[in-house]
Amino acid sequence: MTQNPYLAMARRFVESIPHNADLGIEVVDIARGVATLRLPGKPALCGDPERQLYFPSVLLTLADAASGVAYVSAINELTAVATLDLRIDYLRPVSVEHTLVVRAHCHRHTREVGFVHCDIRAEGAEDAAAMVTASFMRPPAKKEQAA
Amino acid sequence: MSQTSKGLERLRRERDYQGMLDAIPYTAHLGIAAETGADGPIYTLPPRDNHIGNQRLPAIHGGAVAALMEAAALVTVLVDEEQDRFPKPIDFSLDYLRSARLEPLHAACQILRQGRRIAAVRVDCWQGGDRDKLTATGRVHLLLSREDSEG
Repeated sequence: MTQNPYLAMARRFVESIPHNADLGIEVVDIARGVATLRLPGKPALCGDPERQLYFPSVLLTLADAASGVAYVSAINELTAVATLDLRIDYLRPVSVEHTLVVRAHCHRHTREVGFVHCDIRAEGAEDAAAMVTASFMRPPAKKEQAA
Repeated sequence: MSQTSKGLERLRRERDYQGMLDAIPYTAHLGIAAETGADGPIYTLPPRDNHIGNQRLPAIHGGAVAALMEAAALVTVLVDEEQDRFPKPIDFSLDYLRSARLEPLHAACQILRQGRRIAAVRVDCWQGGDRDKLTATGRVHLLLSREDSEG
């Protein structure tokens, strides 16, 4: 198996973002335009104390992180990109006892925009817990690009 | 502290938006606060380093913005529509209009349609004094519980 040289850098990039770190988002794998991230459950992420379910937008945050890195890997740059819009369909609730896994795929990208779709599952589950569609914008290049 | 449905019912009866936010572990973790305004509750996400999604600007993570908006919709519907249980989110669509600076972020919602089973809620999000200068806007569909018997 060949080691993906991009992976270590991308992992540092994603996991050093304070809010990703606060939730505990981990990078599993990244290839050109495809990112797999996971989030182990913990009590702080619970939205329904009675039924021990994830607060719904925890899935959205995971999807946003994965989609953004799927786009930056597609354009082969490690830069912060801005989410333009995002839609999530909550197909089924997930208990915080489960780890969440998201796989994001950038279907089309230019230097300005990217279009990403992702599925979220409880780790090991066959059926998706949520589907997400998002579009991203690459911020204008600054002087650092000149050299 | 574990919250039972009895606890939820008391919070709902007392229209205690803040108590409700404190009872939900994730909204408590983020430090989301509620204040009653003239047109209903206003929800605020405090600026904390843990909420940062872009360190260079710095800007609040899009996921934290979304969490504030979703919390606003869920808690408002839970309290105002006299729900016994947490409404189930069906979908959430949002537009990010500008980056959220590391300053207090506010959200308020408007129930666009309230049917027997589904509520459509619009949520707007802003910073500073100008409420028309939106940081983000979104729409949430919620499935309501209308159970007469104990669920």
